[in-house]
Amino acid sequence: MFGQIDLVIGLLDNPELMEKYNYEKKDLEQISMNRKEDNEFISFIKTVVKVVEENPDTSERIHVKKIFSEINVK
Amino acid sequence: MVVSKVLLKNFLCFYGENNIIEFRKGLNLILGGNGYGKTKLYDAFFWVFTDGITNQQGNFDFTKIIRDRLISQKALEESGQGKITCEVSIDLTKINLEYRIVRQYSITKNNESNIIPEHESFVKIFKKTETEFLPIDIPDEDSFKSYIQNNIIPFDKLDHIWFQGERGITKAVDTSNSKSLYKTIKNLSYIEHWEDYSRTAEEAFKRINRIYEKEIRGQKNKSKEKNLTLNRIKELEEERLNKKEQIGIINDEIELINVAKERINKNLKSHTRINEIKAKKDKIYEEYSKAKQELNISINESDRQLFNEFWLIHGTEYLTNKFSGLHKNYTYQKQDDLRAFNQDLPPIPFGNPKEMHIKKMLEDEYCHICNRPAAKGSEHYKNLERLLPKNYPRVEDLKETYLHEEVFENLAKNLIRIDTNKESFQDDLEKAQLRYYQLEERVKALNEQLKSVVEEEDYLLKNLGINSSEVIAVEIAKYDQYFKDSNQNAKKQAILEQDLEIIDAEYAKESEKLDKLLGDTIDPQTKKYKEYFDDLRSAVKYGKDKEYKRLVRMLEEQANRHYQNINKLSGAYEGTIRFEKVGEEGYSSKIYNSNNEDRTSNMNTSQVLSMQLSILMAILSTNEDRGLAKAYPLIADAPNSAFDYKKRAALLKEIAITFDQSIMMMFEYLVDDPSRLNRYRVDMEAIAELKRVFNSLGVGLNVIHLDIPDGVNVKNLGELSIQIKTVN
Repeated sequence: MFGQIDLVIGLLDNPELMEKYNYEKKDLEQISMNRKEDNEFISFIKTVVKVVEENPDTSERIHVKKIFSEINVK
Repeated sequence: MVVSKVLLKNFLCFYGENNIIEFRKGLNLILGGNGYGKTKLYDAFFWVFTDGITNQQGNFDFTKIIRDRLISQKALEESGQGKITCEVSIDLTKINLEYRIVRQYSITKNNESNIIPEHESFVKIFKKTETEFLPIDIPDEDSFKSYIQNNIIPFDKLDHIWFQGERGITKAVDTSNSKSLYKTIKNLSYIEHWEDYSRTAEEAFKRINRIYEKEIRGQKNKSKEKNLTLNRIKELEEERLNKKEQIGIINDEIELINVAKERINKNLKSHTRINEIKAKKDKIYEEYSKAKQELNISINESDRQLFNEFWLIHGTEYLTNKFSGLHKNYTYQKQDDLRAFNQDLPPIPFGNPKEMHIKKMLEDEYCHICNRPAAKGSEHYKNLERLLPKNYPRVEDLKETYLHEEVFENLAKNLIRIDTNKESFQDDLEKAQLRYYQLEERVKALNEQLKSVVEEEDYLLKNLGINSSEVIAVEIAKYDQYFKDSNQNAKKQAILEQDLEIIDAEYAKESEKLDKLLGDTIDPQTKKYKEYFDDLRSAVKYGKDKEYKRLVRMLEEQANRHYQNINKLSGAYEGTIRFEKVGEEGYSSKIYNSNNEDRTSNMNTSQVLSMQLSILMAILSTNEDRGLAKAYPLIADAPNSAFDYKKRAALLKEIAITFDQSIMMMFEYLVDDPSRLNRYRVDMEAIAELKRVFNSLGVGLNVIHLDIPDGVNVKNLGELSIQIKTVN
């Protein structure tokens, strides 16, 4: 297990978050890194994973900077 | 990374400029006796990469400590005045790029006794272009380390994939310490990647929280209540952090105590085990001595019995036939002679007693006429003799002719008896032989048992150092103290957890209150992402824990596969490896038998070693794509000294399948060379068998024999040089 999709599922496969953000296990099976998500939280997690995985050997500060830029928070 | 060549120039025992070893992908077996340069070759790898060599305690001695001892003693003694340099050069390939790493160290010899050593070694890295190796600019040791770390091999992985069996493989994988096993798993597997997410989630939450607070503080219509609530939330956050920190400290203490308790417990169990082993050893030794004595007696008796009975069985028949013929002739001859004696007797003078009466009286040495004794040679005897005519044959003469009749008679009887019983002699001989073999087997088995018990005792004593009762008393006292500390810490922890619960409840209440007070005044996006990032933190924690558990189960499965493959053929396979969670960040490995009983403390050295190697291989090979087993060569010196030949072959096979390249130094597969004094030759039969197995697996096998020229004393470093021979 190490692909981006596996990490996204690894982070989202959490009963408390499922209940809070209204998604189910079967939704996780449908996740694709290239498709737009209806569920905003799933989309957020995908962004985090994408940034961390596409910028290996980078500090967490740079990761955070890039994530904030992706989600448009200044 | 694949190592293709090593060149050693005047490095330790490798005298001369041209010591080249070429390696291939697959398994490279470096065979050498004790003192033939195996460990020195292993040291050469570490020296090039780290500037250090592991000492007997498993720690590093760096060049500045070892200095001129790095240079071949023979080179030192034979060189004239001037500079003497030792060098190790390693050629390797990493992701299609070829590198050459060269480390050198020099001294200057002024005269026989005056040597000026340099303070440090020098290292260079070359990268191959299409035609040649060109140097890379690395100004100092730090730049070298950083280049190696980023481009060739990470140093924190090195200890786990390059290890020395005789100095203990605990540096590679320490299964005796739960914290250490947890760290090894974390260090070597991809689980470490989750730490990146933990750090990123924490950093992101801090940043969004700063934005959130800034927004609140920047509001124009700040009410006093809003401010108070916000301040209270800040205070509660601080208190929460404080409590969490305290809980963390207590948890660490609990963890440390648990590890210490675990260690002491193991030590105490081991002490009991040592006593059991000692008793077992004495018992086996007693049985062994008795069996050996019986075997010696049996050898002596068998030799005698074998000689006697072989002779009897094979000689009796011939002798009986021959003797019975002779004896028959002898008897017939005697009868003939007796008949002739009686027939040819001349007549007795008239009036005398008949000759048969005289003969009888002479035989009886008694005169029946006068009724008195007539002992041979007496006057009476002579008188009786006189009654016979002068030429009358004397019974004595006849008797003298057949003097051995009685002996022959007995001999004939004995021969007949022997001949009749020869079948049973054959049986006896076979029984004696069988008993001899049984005794021999028993002595061998007891010797093996004794060896294994002594090894286990040595292992426990060496690794735990708890052979004295004083140490045990101290350990028990420590354990009691730890027990008290544990109880106190548990109470403290409960109080802190309770406090934290109260703080959390108040925090939730105050946050709710603040939300109401703020209404829609906060940017909904900030609010949303504050929650998202907070949830990302818990998602990472939950995901990491879950993934770690999954990884541990996977490692357990892999380790058991290796453990089974290594042990099953030798018949030493027992139980299954289980990883058990100890505290928050700890795992211990145990062996359970089919009855679900923990057998860990009862295992012998060989079983412990096979468990450690299995776990190490499992950790290194987890995740096919990122597994270290495919990325770096395993370099191990004497990893299997406690294994028998079946287990050794199984281990080599397992290593060859698991690692893309492995370099193993070992003594096994060498046998005494009868044609040379104190030298070894390669056991070609065993190597051929190994090659056959490896061929069927499609794995390469490269065998190198480290030899020493005839007539050179291994212990005399001044004349020592190593011959490198490729075995085909």
